[in-house]
Amino acid sequence: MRIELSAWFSLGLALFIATILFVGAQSISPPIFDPVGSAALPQACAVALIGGAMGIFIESALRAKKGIEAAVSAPLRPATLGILALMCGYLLAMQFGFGFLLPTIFFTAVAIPIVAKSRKAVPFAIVTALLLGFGCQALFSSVFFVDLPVMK
Amino acid sequence: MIQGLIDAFGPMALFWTFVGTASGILVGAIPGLGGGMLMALVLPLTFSMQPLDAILLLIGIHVGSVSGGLISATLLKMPGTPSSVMTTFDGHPMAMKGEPERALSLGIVSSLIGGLMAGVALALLAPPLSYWALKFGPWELAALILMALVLVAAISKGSTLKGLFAATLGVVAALPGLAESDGQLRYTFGVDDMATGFRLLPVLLGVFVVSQLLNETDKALGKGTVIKLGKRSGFPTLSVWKSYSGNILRSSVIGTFVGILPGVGASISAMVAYGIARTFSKTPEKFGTGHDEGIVASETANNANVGGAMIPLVTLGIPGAPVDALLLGAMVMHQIQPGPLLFVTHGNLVWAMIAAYFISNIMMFGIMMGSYRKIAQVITIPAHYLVPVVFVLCVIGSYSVGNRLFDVWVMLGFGVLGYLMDRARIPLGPFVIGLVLATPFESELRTALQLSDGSLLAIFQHPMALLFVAFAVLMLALPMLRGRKASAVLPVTTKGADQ
Repeated sequence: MRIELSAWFSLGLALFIATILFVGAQSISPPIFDPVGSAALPQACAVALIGGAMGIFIESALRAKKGIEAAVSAPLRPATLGILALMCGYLLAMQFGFGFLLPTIFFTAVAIPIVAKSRKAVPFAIVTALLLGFGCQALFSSVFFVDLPVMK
Repeated sequence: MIQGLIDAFGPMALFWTFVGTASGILVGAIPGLGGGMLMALVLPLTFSMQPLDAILLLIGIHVGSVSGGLISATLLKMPGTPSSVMTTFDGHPMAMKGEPERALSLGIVSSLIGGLMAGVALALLAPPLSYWALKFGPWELAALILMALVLVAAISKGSTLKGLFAATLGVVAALPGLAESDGQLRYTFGVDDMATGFRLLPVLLGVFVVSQLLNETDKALGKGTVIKLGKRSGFPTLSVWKSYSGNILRSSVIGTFVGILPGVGASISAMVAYGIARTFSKTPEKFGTGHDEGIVASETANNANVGGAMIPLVTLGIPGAPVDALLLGAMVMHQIQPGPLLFVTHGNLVWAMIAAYFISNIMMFGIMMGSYRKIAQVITIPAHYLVPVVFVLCVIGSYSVGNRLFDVWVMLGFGVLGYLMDRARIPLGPFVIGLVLATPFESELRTALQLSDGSLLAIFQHPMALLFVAFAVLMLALPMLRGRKASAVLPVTTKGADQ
């Protein structure tokens, strides 16, 4: 009997979020004017989440018991994890004061060959990265007046 | 009303409607991009625009993107948007038979007729529905939102339980920050930036765009091969259209009606219309082999869905489709509260929106008939260019909301959550609807309970509210009962049972 990964995911996610909701609800002051208060909806959501996840889990277990094959997701490509790590690195670089321009150029120049899974894409990636970095900097700073992060 | 129509025909309004429609068609035609993605990316750029121009731009994008998917569905066998999936079944085979122009012409004209017929329904149904909804008090509104949430979950892709789970997650995402009813801070965990909660735009960008980018990286779509177009027009004769009038009318009604149901996107409309067209057809065996009727049904219904989905949005403040949640978000960001009072407080704006919807459909027809050959040349942008470029635009969009990197992290976090939910086959539509409707639901429910001294039994004094709740319960019970019946006759081994 094999329970689908999605059922485990739902249950884990529900338990994690419900714990946060219940713990956080303790620090919400009791209601003064209205009979419900601001903690009621979060607590109700926590119960609904756990109930829903349990339902998904039971549904999956019943299917497994009947011998119905679990739906299998496409395999996770290493490139996706690489891109995700790169996205985090991109945001961290901006967080640590490298501004918008340099991290954007670096991110784009590295991301294109990773997604393309080809070193041949590197020259095009560098050109795209420079165009995108300087283009966005000019467009959003001078036309749309967005204060993009600056280098510290 | 007259002023609203005049506003929609102003030069700037026409310009933004045209920009929205044209960019929507282009983005809708590119597989991997979609109207929701473009709308989320464009939202921060609309902050400095007049509210009317911003909303007309978004309506144009919505109409254009649903129509644009036809081009790649026909020429690439890759639906540019999910709403064009059914078009692929007959559009591509017809193109392979050497009639791509005919397939595109059929699709474009059907899209126009479906869009216009839904527009008529929008113009006729929205005002009376809105005036009727004005009589609603907090009990009715809370019950209506609850019904919408349950309905979204019950008829979304996958199991009802997963739909409900997703809708609850959406409500949870709206909880942190200042509670609207009593001004209390919740779930900030001592982080100052959390006092504003998760802002709508970064969450929408994460769920709609970043999760899709991660999916595209997973799929690593190659560059498709576009079927070459000839010089002839392939436009069907009037007698051909006459023979499809019943199909067009039926598909328009289906598209509009499915659009009115909260949270059901254009793809479901197209599927239902295609299935019914096949049932009523004299030649059902031809479906899937490049049959006119399949293209007509799918394209009429998916465009009619856009107009249908606008009906609950402008009259009740409930998005008819997940993409409409973006339109609702844009209205809220521009200090316009959709709902029953919208016709009273912003009547001109609503009529301008309805007029712009018609204009956008006509523009869509003109742009697509005039330029589908050109669009066909640019629809094969490889995913490896799209992913980083679109992500950088998402970063700028999220950052511009409050000039803080916190919002960008929120976007990435929700992007990862959306990606994982998608892999676990938990639908994203109910999540977005839950997120948008959580605050008004809590606010109305708490007001209702204040009025009744905390007694839930007071709902029995409100028949309309009771009817909404009963409908919600029925919606929940029906799929479960059907599932039990189906499971009793299900074969022992069924692949993809979860889908």
